[in-house]
Amino acid sequence: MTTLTHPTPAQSDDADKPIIIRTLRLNKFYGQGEATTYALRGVDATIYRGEFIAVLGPSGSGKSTFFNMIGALDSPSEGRVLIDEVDVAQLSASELAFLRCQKIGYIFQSYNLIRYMTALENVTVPMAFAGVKPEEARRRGMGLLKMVGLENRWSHRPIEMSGGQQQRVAIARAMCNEPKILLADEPTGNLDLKTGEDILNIMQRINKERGVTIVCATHDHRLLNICDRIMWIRDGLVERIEARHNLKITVGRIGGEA
Amino acid sequence: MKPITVKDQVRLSWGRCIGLALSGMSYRMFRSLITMSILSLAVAFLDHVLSYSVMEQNTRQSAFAQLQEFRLVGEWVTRLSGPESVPQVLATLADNNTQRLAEYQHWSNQDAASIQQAQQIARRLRDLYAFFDNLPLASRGVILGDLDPMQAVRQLQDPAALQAFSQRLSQVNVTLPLAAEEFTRLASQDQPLLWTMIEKINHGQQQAIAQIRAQTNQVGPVELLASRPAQLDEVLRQAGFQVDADLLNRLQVQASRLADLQRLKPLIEIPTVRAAMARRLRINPKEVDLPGTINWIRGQSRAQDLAADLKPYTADHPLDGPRLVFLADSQRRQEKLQAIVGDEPPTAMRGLLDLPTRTRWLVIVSFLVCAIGVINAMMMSVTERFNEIATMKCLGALDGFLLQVFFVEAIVQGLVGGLIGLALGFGLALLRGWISLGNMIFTCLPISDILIGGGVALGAGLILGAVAAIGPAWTAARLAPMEAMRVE
Repeated sequence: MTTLTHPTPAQSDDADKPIIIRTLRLNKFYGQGEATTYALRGVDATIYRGEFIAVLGPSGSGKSTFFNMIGALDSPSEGRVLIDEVDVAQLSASELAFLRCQKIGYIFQSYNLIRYMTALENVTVPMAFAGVKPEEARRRGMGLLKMVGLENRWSHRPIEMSGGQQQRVAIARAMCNEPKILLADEPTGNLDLKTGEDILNIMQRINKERGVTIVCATHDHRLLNICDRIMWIRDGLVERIEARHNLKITVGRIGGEA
Repeated sequence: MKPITVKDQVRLSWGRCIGLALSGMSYRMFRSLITMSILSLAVAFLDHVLSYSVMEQNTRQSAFAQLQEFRLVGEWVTRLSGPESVPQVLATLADNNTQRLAEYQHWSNQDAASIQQAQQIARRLRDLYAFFDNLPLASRGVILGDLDPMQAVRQLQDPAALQAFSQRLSQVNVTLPLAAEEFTRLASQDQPLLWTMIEKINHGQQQAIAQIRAQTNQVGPVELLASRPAQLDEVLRQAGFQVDADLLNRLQVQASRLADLQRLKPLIEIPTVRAAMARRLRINPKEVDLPGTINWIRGQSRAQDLAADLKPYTADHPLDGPRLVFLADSQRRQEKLQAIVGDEPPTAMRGLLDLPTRTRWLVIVSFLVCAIGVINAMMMSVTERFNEIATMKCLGALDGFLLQVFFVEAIVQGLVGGLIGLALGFGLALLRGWISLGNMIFTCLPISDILIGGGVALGAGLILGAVAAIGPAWTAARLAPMEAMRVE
């Protein structure tokens, strides 16, 4: 592994923008010797503060692995992940927990709500981990539920809610400690078109109104309408990264891919 | 670029933990109930074995102690009838009963030092007899012939016999527990001292008994104790017996019972009484016997009936209803106690920590069963929640928080399950004790031992449960969240 104490941004035209996440020759493989399978093979990527980046790629391309790496949910086999220029691998368990709690919000394809908690309790759990007082957490939780339009369903358990509603609770939960980064792994993967669109709208609002950096791994091409940049991943490598305005996009379709 | 600094480590309050654990448990009510019932069964099993064994032990000991009261009179009747046998004196000497030793000192008319010396010799001889008794039959036959150890060793006072004995000993290659010269000294010098002492004691006993007879109008020991003449205390004490008023009172009660029993025996043989009893029992008059009659006497009205039959023949010394009831009840009680004690006398009072070997194994096995049950139940309930643990980690939970939550949950489940288990185990032990030992189980509950046993069972359930829950939770918490999520 190369030691890079002051890494330089990869793309010159974006050099002035503040960087929030950077990966350096990110490798992830499972197994050993002959049986080694590579999920990521040297991914170098830079994500800027406040942007909305879509990560596209077919199944098994390493999208989710990349997502887990930059979210500090899994450790890379080789290479480094820098969040706010801090190497994730250098962090202790409690610093990692702090990072996950305060700086990053996660949204999963399968919502991953805690089954036995109500919507409000689900939203307030990370605040308890952050040391927010219960009354304050309740107040903020209700505000967040209002933002996603579920203030009337705060007492419902995940099992009593539709997929779209569960995903909205998950978004509220991800936003509860006001993170700088929102990572979404196929947030609309399990949803129908209409509810999927609601989710995307909420995400767009979060990006625009709160300036939260959003990284969204997806198959959903509608995302291309709202994102700033698109990153294609194929076979564990970054195929290309394009700004949206460089692509010819018609609504609901991509014209950029030749 | 500033690195992440965690300034104030966030702590999850225990109240919040309990809240989390309770809401989780109430949601997974069915699963928690299964976990808790397995826990409670495991704890119940262990507690049952522990409390039943202390209960049984205590009851048997208590029954044995109460039986001693019945046996006491028999023992004293024997002592007042004639001198003790030689093995008996030997055994008493080897024991450490100060009262008896004082009596022996009186009868032998020796000083305390020589009694003590006799005691030492008696103990060494007792050990020697035990050694010979435990030899394999073949070598024992060669060494002792047909004699029992006491007779054989007694013969060794003769030097020639000792010589022959040593030769036989070398033939079978048996090593004595004593050095050769010690053995020689014991056989040829110490032994005669002891036998002379025992002779003196026996002689003293004979004189004492004759003296008592003379002073109490030649009455037999049973009647003597039952009637308890005013000067009895003094007479016995003068004769060298160590007695006090309390002992004589107790002896009087038992002796009069025994006297009544002895008097009832010939009365049953009288044809009219026999015919009346046969009518009552609805059996052939020939089959009427003492145990059957005593067994029939239950309650005052039956006793009054029999007393009425007996009245013409017991004019001098009436055998009335209450006496018959007392006789029958005592007899039944004695049988019941005997049934509880069984053939072997119970070992001396030992606590929970020093159980008989068989029970100890039972406890160890039930502890293992309890441990496996608890560990399995808890590990299952945690392992199936790896996903939840991973989600919590994604939300920024510290490893410590997860352990805290699972620890609290294990403790709550352990406490609820364990307490139910304790009630169940203790209840079952009581029921089993009541069935096998009768009402006596309730009167001699070893409360402190039962509490210790309960504490051990509950503690085992709690500690094992907590460890078994925290183990997998710790494993899951230390994994990267995504790795934990992949574990299914």
